[in-house]
Amino acid sequence: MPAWFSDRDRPWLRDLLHETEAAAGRPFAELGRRWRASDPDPRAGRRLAVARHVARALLLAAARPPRLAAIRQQLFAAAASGLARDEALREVAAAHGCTPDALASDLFADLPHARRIVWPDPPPEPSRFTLLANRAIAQGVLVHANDATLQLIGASRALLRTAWLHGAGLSVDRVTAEGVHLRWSRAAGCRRRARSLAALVPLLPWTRRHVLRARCAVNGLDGTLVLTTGDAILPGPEPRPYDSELERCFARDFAAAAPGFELLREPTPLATGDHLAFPDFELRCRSSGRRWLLEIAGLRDRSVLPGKLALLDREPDYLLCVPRQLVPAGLVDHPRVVGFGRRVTVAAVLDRIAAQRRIGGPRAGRR
Amino acid sequence: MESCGTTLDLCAGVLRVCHWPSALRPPFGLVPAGAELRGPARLRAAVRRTLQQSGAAFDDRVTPPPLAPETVPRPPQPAPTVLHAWLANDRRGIACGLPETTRLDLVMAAVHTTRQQALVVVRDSGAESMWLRVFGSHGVRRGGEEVCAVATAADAARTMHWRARRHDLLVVDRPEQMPHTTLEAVLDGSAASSRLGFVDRPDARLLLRWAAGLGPVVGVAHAGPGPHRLELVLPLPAHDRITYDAAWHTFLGAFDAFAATRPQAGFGTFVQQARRDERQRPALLAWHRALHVASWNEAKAAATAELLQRHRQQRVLVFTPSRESAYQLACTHLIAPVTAELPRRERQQALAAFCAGRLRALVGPRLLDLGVPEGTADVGVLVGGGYGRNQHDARCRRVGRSGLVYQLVALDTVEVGRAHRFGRSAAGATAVADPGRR
Repeated sequence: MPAWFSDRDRPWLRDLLHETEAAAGRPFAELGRRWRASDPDPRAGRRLAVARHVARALLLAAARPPRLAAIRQQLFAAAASGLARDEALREVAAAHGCTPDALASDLFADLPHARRIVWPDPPPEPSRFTLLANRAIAQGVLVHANDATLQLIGASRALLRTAWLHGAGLSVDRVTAEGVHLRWSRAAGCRRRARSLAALVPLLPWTRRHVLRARCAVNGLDGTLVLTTGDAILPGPEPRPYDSELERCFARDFAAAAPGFELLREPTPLATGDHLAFPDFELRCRSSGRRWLLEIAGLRDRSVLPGKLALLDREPDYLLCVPRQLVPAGLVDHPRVVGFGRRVTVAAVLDRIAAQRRIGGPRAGRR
Repeated sequence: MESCGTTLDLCAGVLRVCHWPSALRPPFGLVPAGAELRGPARLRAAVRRTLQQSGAAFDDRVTPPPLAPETVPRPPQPAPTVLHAWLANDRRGIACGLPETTRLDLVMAAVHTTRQQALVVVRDSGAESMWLRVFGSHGVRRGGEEVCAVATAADAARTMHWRARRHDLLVVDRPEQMPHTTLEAVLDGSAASSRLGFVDRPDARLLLRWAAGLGPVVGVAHAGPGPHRLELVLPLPAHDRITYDAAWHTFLGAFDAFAATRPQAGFGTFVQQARRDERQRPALLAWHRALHVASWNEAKAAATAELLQRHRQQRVLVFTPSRESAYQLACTHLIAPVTAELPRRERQQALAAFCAGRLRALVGPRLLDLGVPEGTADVGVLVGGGYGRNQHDARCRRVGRSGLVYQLVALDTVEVGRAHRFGRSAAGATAVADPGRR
């Protein structure tokens, strides 16, 4: 069981942050050397390494490097045009209001090896730091996971999308009213998948409820790591509300043009074999309560079209918006396929819904 | 949707075959998992072939849609002769020793023939920039559709779970320069049924290993004579000589003991063992220190400065052993560096500027190896370091046939033997120089 960071660690964490703040303006390499040479803090124990790792990551994120690429290009172009070194330095330095010596010494100051520490503003709080450190511990342990199960209830789209992008290898165990149950196992000799699983930790707190159980083996010790809703782990950045500008525009236009409908951003995913399908919106008629699922498929990857057409066949309340030029010839007149140009027009979607109402009649609360 | 027996699908990089005919033997590598068969995506072509030969109906849901007719690039005229051998071999095979321009023509011809999007996998972002630049000049991104995608081996291995079903033509450029595990991940993870490999120099052992993933050799071309190579042997400065000798002594003390106990084991085994053994680790660090001193020192810095001065009117590529030496040369002589640390756009702009003639010299450790087309430079300076014969060849190929390659070698160090091994033959001329003293 990892020793999580908590409020009792605040004193030595505060000291560590003070020490780090004192190094502001110096290169990262120098801070690393100083840490390696210093005596270990008895209050911290082995967790000092975790805290330093987190502090370094925090500082790296805060250190915004100066923009020197354009200056370098000018300088190298000036030298290539035949100017002598001193002349080229003088000319470019004058153009940017610095001395030739300063320009020569700071020519690569924006690169990681020469980057200097910048103290973040606002400064990091020990309490926030503990949450960050806990997240780092959870991720560090999950890298050693052999298999895991994950239960997600609500607001799971961002997490599952990230898992898919990372190739984490999560497979659907079952989809119930309580949510989605997923399982994960490490492929033989494949550490990448475990890292992808660890990358999901910052997104877990954004789900409504979650339970992650991972069987891990760290340095010959076996154990099960359990992360649940409410654990002291810092959430990552807020997931983007929309996947594309197209979706954002549609949501805005639809809310303005169809007050009789309620637009739900993240409906319950649909199980398709071992996969999950995530329609973009759920459109619920306020008067009848009938719901439609709407997916806007930009089809940048055209190979996904067959899967979406299969879903169209299977789900009677599923509307598919596809770029007009990519609508398959046999589906141009399909009652639930909406072709679009630069934007999805709300009127076309409402027309399809009205046609569906005429065909199918009210099916309130079907889903 | 076609209603038929066997279906092929891809899930998280794993090929899943449902309703396999019971009378048919599945290809080797597919294993039963419940009611279906599973295996690496690489087996898709074998599964399709087996089903086609038996006449069984199947639905391949992995096949990406073909390119629209207006997006298919024009085939080069005349088509490379290797193309016919490749097509005759079920669109799989490796071509050895082709020049880069012929490689590009062959990829274009293959895309034209198969009408499939191609994924070109290269060693690093330097090579990626070069391929993208060449593809861009051929206008292969049409109507918002990417006809040929280029990815580094590491990137392709990481993203193959979603790339796998996008491309039905996989092209691997210089697999011999890619890490073995990464290359395996790419070859196993791709579902492409058409595969093409480009190898600089045929090596039977490696070709045999890649046969399952890329296919057999379908063509071998003789690369022809390279640029004139001149070896400059430079004595180490006195203080570096002391450091080198001390480090080499520490290394040999441990390595000799290792070699005495395990005479059959090679240097790689020693490195693996020394990494884990605290007593042997100093020897490994000493070996690195010795190489570091030999590969970059004051004598080499002075020699490089003289060479840059001598060839200031020509296009020069300086291949350094490390990032630090590249920055030092860049700062001293104001020549653009190309390192992995630099922003990608800056790197690409520097490479493009060199190819266009706006920059006369570039300096860098590894990304330069494949970053500019073959024969672009007039002069190459191999300062030191290096990861073997393939890299040495790749560096020399950047220089035109009428050009000149200087190889700087530290006298009485491990570099002398390495230079002869990597260069395979004696240099055109060898000179012992003492730069900086006239």
